[in-house]
Amino acid sequence: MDGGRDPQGEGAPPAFQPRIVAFLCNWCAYSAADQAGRARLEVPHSLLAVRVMCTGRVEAAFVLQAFREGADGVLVAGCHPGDCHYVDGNLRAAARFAVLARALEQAGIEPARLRLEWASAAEGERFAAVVREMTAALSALGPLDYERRSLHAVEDAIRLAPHRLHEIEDRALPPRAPGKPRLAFYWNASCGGCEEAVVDLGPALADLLGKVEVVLWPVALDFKKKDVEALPDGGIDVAFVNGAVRLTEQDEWAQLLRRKARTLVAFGACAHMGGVVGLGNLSENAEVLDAAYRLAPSISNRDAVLPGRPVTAVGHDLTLPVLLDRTLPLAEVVPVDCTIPGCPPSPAVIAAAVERLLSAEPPARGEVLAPNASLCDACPRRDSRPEQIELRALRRLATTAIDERCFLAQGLVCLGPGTRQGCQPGCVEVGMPCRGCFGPLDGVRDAGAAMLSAFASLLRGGEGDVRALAAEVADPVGTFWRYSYAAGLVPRRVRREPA
Amino acid sequence: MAGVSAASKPGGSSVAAEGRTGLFFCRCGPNLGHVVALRELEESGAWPQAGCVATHEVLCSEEGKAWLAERIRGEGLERVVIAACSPKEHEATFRKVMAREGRSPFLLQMVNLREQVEWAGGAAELATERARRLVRGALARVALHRPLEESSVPAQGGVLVVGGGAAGISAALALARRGRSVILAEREFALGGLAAQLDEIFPDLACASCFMEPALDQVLHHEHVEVVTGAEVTRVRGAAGRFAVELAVRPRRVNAAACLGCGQCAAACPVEVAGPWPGSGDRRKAIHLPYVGCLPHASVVDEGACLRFQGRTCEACAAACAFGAVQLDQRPATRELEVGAIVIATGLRPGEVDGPEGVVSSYQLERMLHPNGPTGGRIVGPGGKVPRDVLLASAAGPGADAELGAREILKLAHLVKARLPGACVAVAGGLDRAPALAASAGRLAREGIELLAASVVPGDIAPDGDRVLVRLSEGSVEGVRAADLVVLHAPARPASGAAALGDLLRIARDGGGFLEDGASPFQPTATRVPGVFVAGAAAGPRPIAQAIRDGTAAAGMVLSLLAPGEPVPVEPLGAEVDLALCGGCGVCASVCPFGAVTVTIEAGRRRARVEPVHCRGCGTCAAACPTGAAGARHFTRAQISAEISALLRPAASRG
Repeated sequence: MDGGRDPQGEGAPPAFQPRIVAFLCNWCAYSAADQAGRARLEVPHSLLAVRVMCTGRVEAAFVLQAFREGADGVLVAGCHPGDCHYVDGNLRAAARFAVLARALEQAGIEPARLRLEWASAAEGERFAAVVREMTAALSALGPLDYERRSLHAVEDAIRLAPHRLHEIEDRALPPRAPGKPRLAFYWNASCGGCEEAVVDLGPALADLLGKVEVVLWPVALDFKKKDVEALPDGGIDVAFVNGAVRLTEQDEWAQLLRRKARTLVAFGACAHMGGVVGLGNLSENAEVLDAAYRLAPSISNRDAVLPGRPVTAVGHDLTLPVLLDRTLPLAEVVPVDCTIPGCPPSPAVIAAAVERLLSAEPPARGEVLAPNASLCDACPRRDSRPEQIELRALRRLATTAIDERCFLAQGLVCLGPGTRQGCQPGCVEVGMPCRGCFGPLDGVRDAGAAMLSAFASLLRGGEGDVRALAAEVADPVGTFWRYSYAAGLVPRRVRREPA
Repeated sequence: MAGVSAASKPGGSSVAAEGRTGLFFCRCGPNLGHVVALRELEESGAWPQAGCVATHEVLCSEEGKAWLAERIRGEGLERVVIAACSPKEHEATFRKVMAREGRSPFLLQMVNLREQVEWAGGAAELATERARRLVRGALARVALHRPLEESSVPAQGGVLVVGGGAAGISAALALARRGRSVILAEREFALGGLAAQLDEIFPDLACASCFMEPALDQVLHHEHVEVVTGAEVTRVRGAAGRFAVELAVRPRRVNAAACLGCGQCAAACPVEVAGPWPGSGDRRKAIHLPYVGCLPHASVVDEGACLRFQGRTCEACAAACAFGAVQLDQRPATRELEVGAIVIATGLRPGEVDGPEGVVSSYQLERMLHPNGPTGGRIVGPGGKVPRDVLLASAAGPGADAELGAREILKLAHLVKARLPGACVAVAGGLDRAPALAASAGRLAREGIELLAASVVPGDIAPDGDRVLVRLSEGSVEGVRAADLVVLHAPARPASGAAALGDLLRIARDGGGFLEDGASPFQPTATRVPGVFVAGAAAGPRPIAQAIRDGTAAAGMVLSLLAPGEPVPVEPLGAEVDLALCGGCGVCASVCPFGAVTVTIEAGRRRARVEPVHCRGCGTCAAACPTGAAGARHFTRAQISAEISALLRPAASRG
């Protein structure tokens, strides 16, 4: 049983005991918590303390993980500014969580759920008061219940669909029929740029087409779904699927291609991480449909017909695919063998990936087929990067003059440090800071959270200064999670529930 | 990142712990178990990760420690979770038990059941549930602990003193007398700072050069003091006991050891420019002695003025020097130092005043009064005439140094009256009304100095032929007074470069921009950065005598806190960098509070490097690293993440 939420007795309404994950610095806040205990002050059992040496250690990703996994609130508490055992690690935390709080608000997580507090080792009373206040505030807000409210709906919807595959990992495929490698290209929720990227291979594409048999490529050639259904399982050697999954129909195609393909490749940023399409997860479905089918100036829809509901037209009953509750990266609906990242993937990355996929030694399961190295390392501006980057003012592209130096050093948000190489020549070569489309390096769970932590850590000045700078970072979710929001730890705005 | 590739990475929470784990609850005598149901926790069978679960009455007792050691040995435990008091209380105790049993002390994790659960009171059910979650978090975490290395390095005994003024030489001499080696880094090319620019100093008109020169002489000749002139601190890394400092040394372009200060070079130099002290009226040659009688008594080349640095050829000075001391080819240099402590004694810059000719700052008057000053000790007004009417006032508003300014003005009025007995000397500002100043003001009145109740209206001083007209106000009454010479005291500012030095060392500045000392009243001159002290006017305007006392106090602090050779432990929790993932972006180096992380270029690639001696293990770099290359030992991403998951896992799930 979930103890904090157990019913108190037969028939009694369940008493809500919020859960607060508290990151406490070893020197001040953790000692303050001890001090509160020694003074026998009432500290609610909502508190689940994680001891860290300094609040400077606390990453944005830890906070997001806590919310995702069931915390109703997160408290980060450290030494008062000026008293930090590590000079100013606490101000790095202040900057990070000032930016993160704004991102959380965009995701519908109320500001009261993330609290940053300073408490000296002597301030047991203050610490106890903070926990009591926060517990009371969270009790009033009610459970966040992020997983159920924001993640489960979509999983429930698609898990029950008749086309879903089960035990796909254990299937035994029939032996491969002789012949040229059979390739499939398909697109889900994407802009079409990934298809163009294939064409951008140029003469190499002609060579490739000579060596393989294309069994599906709706953008270029006329194929029907039934043609694919007619193939035996394993009848496609490599299926490249671009675009995120936002519709039931896209999920169906993903299942179908997974069943037919020996190797399924997530192609491009949307399939990889949800891409820009994933930012739709900040809006409710009703808002998305309203915007697309009712409010857009170019729309004439007097009957307010929305997709997903049956309509009769020219004597036929029609049902358009249903919009899923959120955008999903391909790997969340089917097991993906490997990924070609980028928005769009560069011809060099595609060519190298295809060569490996068709070689005798195909890539390992789960591999991202671009160098596992930071773009910073290949940046043409890298030599202008100063040894210390200390930002006391921020700039924005197009509104302030930019020179030839490292973008970060000039106060621009550049996601290059946390982004994988492979785009070259990409944005940085043409004077644009990196926006992160190639995604993070292996092992980084949430690309946006990692770069938010990195960038905010560079803000300098006193507590007031770093907070003011943090407030200047425009659209934190759209900036740090531009391509990766749907794959992040908090990949959807919290659903508003009727009271 | 999409789940597939993340899940395939090693190092996640799925990695099984090596060796068996023991879980021990402590009842802490009567302290634990009334609110938290310890027996229920122990017997719940909910700890599949623990190979051995038991409870002891008083685990920190000698008997308890022996019992724990026996369990570790008997059960072959590698990892231990102890659910008892705060780790602040007994983590060290149980780590020692681990170490004695040949286990790494870092394979221990404590659960704070006493202070943070039992003593928090509340419902037993909720407390027990919370305890269960905390134990689960500790077990998840300890499974990922790794043994860490413990080592130490000897503390550096040397001390860097920044600034060769009164405070700096005071600190340097006190340290050197105790045998400490001192690097005295001075930004200018002469020692003495502001004190050497003054003649008779506040408060008792002592002769500054009379006590400064012998002290400077000692400093220059002390076997334990190395004076580096033209030097600025450009980088500081590390912490108390182990600072690595980089000095940028501007070339003097004269070999100070060979130069006698005879002045033949200056006589031959064809370029004359204004001197460095703003508004002092000094003129000097491109090669010159910093000032008459300066120490070290050696010339210096002003690159801003010397023809050779304007693309012309000229070697007049070198040709004129009989000792071959002029070395025009000297280059800027960098010095790397390792010191145990740093004393900042960068002093202040005197305030400047605006106004027509005939209006001077109190500092400019001080320079006129100095026998080696620009006027050779004569007081002159506009047109070089001896003034008959002198008006002195403090332009300082209410501020930290308002009283200091008022006292300086009174001192100067006395000195002017003594030099020009026939002149009419007046002091504006009603200084005789301030109780602290009344006695001095009374003496001045008896000397015939006029004490005006009215104050100078700032900015309202107009030229009137050879004289100036000053607007005075007292309440609503205003008037105009004519004078030949108006002397204003303006608030002092921090020395140029002090702000940058403060930033390098991460020392806070007060409202006036001066560095903040006052870490504790019983640690005079200590800043909040251990091992760094601020002496003299770098921490705000003060009399020279006080600056000298500060210097000695800083030396005392260094001597009492820093023993050369004493082991400085290397932080076992220090950060590490996975070079394969590092892109050299430098975010880690930018956030390190101790300069312990640097970006070096190796084989053309930028990579972060951690200096273990300087790292303190805060983990700020690990949190800021966007690729996962920088890691915090004992607070790794995997460990913290596993702890969070375990704390939040629904209670129904086991372990």
